[in-house]
Amino acid sequence: MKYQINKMIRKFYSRSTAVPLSGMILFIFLSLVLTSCEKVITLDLNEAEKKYVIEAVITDQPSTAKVLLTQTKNFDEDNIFPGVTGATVTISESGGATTALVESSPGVYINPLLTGISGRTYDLSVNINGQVFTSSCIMPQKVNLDTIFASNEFLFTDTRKIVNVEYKDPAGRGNNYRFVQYVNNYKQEEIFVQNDDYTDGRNVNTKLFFFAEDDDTVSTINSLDKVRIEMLCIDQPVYKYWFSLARSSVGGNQQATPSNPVSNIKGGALGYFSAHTLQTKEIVVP
Amino acid sequence: MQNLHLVSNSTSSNPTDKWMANTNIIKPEISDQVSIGYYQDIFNKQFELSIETYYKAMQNQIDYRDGADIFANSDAIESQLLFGKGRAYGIEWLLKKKAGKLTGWLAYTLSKTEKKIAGINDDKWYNARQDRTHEIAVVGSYQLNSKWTVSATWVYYTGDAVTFPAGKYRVDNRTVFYYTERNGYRMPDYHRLDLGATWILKQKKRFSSELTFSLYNAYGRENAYTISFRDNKDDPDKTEAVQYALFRYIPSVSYNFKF
Repeated sequence: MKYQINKMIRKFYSRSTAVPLSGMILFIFLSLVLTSCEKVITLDLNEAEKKYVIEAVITDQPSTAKVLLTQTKNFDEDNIFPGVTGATVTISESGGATTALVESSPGVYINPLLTGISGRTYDLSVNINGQVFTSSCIMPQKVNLDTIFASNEFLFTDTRKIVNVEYKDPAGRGNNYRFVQYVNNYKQEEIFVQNDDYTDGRNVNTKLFFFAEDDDTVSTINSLDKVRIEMLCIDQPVYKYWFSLARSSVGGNQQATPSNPVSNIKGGALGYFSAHTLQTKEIVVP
Repeated sequence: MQNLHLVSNSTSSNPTDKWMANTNIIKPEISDQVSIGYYQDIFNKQFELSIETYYKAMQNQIDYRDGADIFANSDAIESQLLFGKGRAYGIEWLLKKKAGKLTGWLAYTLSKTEKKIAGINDDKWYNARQDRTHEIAVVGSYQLNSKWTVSATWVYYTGDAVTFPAGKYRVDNRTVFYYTERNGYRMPDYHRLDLGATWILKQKKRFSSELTFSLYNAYGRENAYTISFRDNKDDPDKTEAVQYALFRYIPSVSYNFKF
């Protein structure tokens, strides 16, 4: 969370009422210097070779297996990413059956009958006009999401409601988790990932702190909001993907060296293949 | 040999440099340099001309690994670094006018500074952030009379080598930028004109004083300080590059005295 410092400082100055003199001077200096000369520019960015983007998911729940195929676009094009049609997509269980996924809408490949089992290895194969991309992922053991609840947290100058998740990490290192938060059915943008490097075998309480961007649909959690949390038990390469995605390419303003997230897909595509367990809990914030 | 290390970000949105000392992991930087130069006074020693060319090979160079995050990890920075080699070469021209009412110089440097570090940029040579292909400086000073001297300085250099997104894509319903190479792009070129005038108030053996008027960035060039990338707020279907510039014109007056 510390990489959000810039944003928090901005929030701090915009909300606090009693700012020390030095803070005021800094604020005036920064606002004069930084905001007065902001302008949108056109950069001559090279047209990069187009790459395929694969988002492939298989879970232990029915009707959730899904593969999305899209392509990269140039920076100055619009943000509408059409699906890649006509690909052959299969997911096979190591030493088991191979299941084909069917294109249900352009670029979306599904099979409602395909459900994974913890501990098994799944192999993805995507064939787009003869170009083959593969990946392999182990579906980890399921760790139970024991409880979720909201708490009041004091952040800089105001008190905000934050959702807590609690679970018992099993003994032995190597458990990785991802949480997805929905507030009144809107997916909240923050990427929450966690491993057990420092919490192995313990009861874990994690507060899902988030700092919304100006254009996010969900900016705060308030009383009577309906919050749904998905807990995903993911394997190490998938953890690495989300961790590096959160740190690098999204927003792109905090890190020292912008780069692509570490993908587990072979063959030169962007994206990820995740075999994970999925558990959902919902509360109404008091 | 150098025991202090400069680690520069390669993002255009946060141009932060960090100085590091040696540790058990960060070894002293070593460089070997050869240079050949030629100097000559010309036109009755009014002018001096020099040309120098150099090649420098560097070992134990450091840079951030891909996706390094200096804010998230306040602990060991070594885990965010990779080590390799570097090279720098170039040629410098300098023409200097030493005598007469008009003095000053004209300097031009053509150079290249690169790094090659396993794990960065597919292990290929890439530009160091500080790589400046062209660097020009024109400095002139003219003595109008015994009281007044006016001066002007113009500098120009190629923008820093930085990493820009080469494209974008969508993952998990968010726009993600796609990068192809480290420091493969350039900040806009930097140039600036400074003007100055000095008025000698008093010039005695024991005490002399003068007033200096100057104007920094006389033609108000908005030199880019940072460039960042974001979704357009009004039209989320678009992405845009935003440039922030620091100081435009800065006038100043100073009073100097010597005794």
